Amino acid sequence: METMGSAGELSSGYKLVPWSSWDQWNFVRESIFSSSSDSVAAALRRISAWRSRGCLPVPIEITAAFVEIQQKDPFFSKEPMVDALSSEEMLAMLYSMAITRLVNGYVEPAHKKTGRSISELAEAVGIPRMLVDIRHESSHRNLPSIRLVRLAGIKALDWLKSNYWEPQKKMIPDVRKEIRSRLHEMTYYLKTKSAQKSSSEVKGKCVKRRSLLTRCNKLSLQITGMLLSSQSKGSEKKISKTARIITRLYSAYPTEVASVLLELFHLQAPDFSDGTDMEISDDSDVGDPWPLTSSVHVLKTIITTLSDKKPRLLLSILKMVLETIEAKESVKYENGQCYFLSPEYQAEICQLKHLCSLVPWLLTKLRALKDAGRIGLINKNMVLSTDRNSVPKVSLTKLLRKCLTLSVTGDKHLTDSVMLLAEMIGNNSLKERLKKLPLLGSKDWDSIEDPVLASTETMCSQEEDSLKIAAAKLELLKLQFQNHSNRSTGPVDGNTDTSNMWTLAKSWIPCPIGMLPCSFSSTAVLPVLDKVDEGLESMKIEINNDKAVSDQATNKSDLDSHTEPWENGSAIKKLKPTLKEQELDFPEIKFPMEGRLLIDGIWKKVSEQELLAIESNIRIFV
Amino acid sequence: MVGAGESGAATSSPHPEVFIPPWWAEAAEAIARASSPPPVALVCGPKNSGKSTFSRHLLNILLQRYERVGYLDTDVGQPEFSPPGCLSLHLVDEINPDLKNPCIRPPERCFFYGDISSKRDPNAYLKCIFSLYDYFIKEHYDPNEIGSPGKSMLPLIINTPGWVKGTGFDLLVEMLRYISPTQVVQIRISVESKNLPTGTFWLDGEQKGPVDLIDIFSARQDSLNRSVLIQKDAKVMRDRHLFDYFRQCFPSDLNIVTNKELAHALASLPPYEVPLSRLKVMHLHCQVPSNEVFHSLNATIVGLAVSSDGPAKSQYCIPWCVGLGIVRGIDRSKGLVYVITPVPYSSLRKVDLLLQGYIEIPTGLLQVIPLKYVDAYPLICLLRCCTRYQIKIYRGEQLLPRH
Repeated sequence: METMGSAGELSSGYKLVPWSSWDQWNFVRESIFSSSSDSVAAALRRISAWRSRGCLPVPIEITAAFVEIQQKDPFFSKEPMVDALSSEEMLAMLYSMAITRLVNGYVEPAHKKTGRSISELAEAVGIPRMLVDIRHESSHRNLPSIRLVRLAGIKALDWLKSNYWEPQKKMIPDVRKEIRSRLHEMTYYLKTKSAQKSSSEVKGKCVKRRSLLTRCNKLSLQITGMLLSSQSKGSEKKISKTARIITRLYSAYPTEVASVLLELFHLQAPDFSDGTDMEISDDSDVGDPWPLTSSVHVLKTIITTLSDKKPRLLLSILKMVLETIEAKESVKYENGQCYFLSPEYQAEICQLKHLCSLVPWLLTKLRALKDAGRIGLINKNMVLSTDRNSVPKVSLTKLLRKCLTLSVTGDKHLTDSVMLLAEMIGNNSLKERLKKLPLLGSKDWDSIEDPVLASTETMCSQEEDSLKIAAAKLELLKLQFQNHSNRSTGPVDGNTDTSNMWTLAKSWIPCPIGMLPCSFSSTAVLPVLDKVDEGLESMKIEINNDKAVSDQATNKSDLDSHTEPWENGSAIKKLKPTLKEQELDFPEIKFPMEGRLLIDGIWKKVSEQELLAIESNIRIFV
Repeated sequence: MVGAGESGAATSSPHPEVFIPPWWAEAAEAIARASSPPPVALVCGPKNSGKSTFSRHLLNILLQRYERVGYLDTDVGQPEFSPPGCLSLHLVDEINPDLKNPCIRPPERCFFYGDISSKRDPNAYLKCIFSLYDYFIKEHYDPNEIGSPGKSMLPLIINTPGWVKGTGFDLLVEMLRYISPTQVVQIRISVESKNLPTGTFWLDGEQKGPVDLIDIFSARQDSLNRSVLIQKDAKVMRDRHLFDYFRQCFPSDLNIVTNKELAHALASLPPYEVPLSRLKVMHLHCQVPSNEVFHSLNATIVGLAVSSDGPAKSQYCIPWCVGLGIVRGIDRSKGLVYVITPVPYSSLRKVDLLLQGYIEIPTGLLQVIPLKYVDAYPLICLLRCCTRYQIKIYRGEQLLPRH
């Protein structure tokens, strides 16, 4: 075992790079050579952020230098520039320095090691001779002319493009493509396997019949049997091998695998004319109404196989499904009225239903794994638990909350999912309370809305009943509303106190440094660092080196103004502590619908006064 | 001078025991004898000549006579008691018989300079050192200032970096002029061209008071009287120091031995969460566009400071640093920064400034989660980016011809 900090363990072939993902790198590659000046500026900004991390690769640094110098060079701009550098002498110096750094950056290490001449080594690397000569001339003789170095600058950029950016881009393996092809492979094996199975059944019957006729065929029968079994064994092996590979891919790229799986599911979505009200049987695959060769079924088999090895895969997919549903819903509302009539909308609806149907299925799988002890539920204070397959309860409650929010649309699958989740969490009072929610009790509505058969009397009594129920629910809502407002006053004041600025995170799911835990799927995600949040715009960050803490006087005023945005902060900010509070103690969790009433199909926020008014109205009716 | 490296070598390397030659012991004794006022001893000399080992030895000798000894570390790349990038003043009160391995100690006062060499910003470097020195003089040396009867004057050891040519030399001269130590220990090696000039090279003619010059030869020589120097892998030493530092986030009885274990423990440790709106971020050595600050900040090592708490005298200095932290994640939607740090809560609670520099996070700390599965798969082996900010060789370097 290597001890801490020993050389062997540290130099394990890794190189620190400033980007967090190849997507980021690719963003810079595309932007810096773009014709839009905004894109170029964005790329340069990103590169300077990378530079501040202290591990910027030479080719990137030099590329940025050349691009920046060209921006200062009036020769490259069509219209007169504001920040152009008018001195050709200065421009020539800038170009020369960048060229020198390019040549040295590539050749110096080898030069130190081997002692061979720079030009010799540069030729081996393939650096144009022109650049090598300019390096020599500008360091040892006269400063080369601006026309020459300008030309050399263009050449150098081209060289960097074809010797760093392009080859590196080709080196980035496309993970999604790889995952996709592996999944297709597995689908193929599964399909052939089931095809074999059915054909062998047929064959077996034939053989049986024939063998009754003549016993001489015994030998051939054995041979066929052997052949068949070896064949199916082979495909079995292949399936498990591919499954292993995908599992490995999943441990490295959880989100990618989940999203490709979902993408396949989308593609497999049946023709919506007949596939919309398919029901997925909850208990087992045996009762599945879909033929074995169906792609959806194959996909589900894949998910089952994989989740057997990596139970958390289910959570990852669940998270992604819910997020997709959410996104689709919001798009639906944005698009407005006319959209509703279009055929795309119909297709969209079907897709949504299709997606929703996946949720309860995934949950039953999850429950099955939990019951089998493959996955354990743990409380949040046990995060340091070594068991990788444990899922914090917080994750489930967050899932539940999301399901509940989405079930506003009235999808049965989602409401079912909510109950399933509540059951898994094993919190009875929660279950009871959920049942009281109008949406989840909506099954009864069918009977109410059956006026043809019902007599007026029963109708009246039914109406009365439902009104009573509504009154009870309102009462409940009001109570929760009060609770909520009572609690929300407390912690806000406490938080403006500077002493609470540093608090230990109450719950934490282990994840690599630089990433954030995802509470839904308990995997790690890369943080979104670009998003400009409204609530954060008032944030003040001093980056000016000299100004920041230069003297005590400004220092003080800095501090004062620093507390300001917090105090004047928007409502969102003030709500934050209360939201956190809610997350922490689960049984009290308030749902997104809290304080809202379904009015004309829209969940509207209602104040306590309004609630009281409505309540009194109900009394009058009864 | 095997085994007498500037800071002890990694345990895994086959270095012989630390050897203190008689002329070193003698020099240390001579310094310790100078009792009134207590010695202010500066140790200088070229790279790998044994400055740190001598300083450690001198520290132990002085601790036999004094209850506490000041130790000012100016070697920002490989400080004795602090993680790299820090300039700090320590008050040491216990003898450490292990002369080979540097250990982490809480500083009396510390600055986060933010780079491993003074060359990035010589002026800021000097200002930090002068402030630390002023602080020591005011609190523990100047009889007019320390006043109270319970307090006695303490001796001070100043260890210097091995950069003794060019700018490094200029900086050393500035330091010597400002501090004007009572003893200057110069360690010399057999390659004369690498040594510092002899005599009071920092004074041009004008004498500033008595100073003891002690020239000693490096500890070990071969049969031809040539100095035997130990080359150390500075990067490995730095990473090791950072590991030791962040190891302090966990109780010492927790069995964390390897990097992997520490990386895993750090990934699992619930971090501090701090509202973004109440933090200031300052890069010490370069400008970051304001909307790129988080790209720059995430997964880096930062100095933690209280913006209002700086040294009283100096006007241009950065505030004191209470310790280092790792920005382990940023959640912009929640407006939170997650920070891991071993700094005790009492000194942490007022921290409102993150100082960013060029102290690289060891790649070993980023490699968590099931890397072994990934390695088994050739396609990913190439990429290895299952964690953040770590990676393989980029193409530009690979293209270099191998000779």
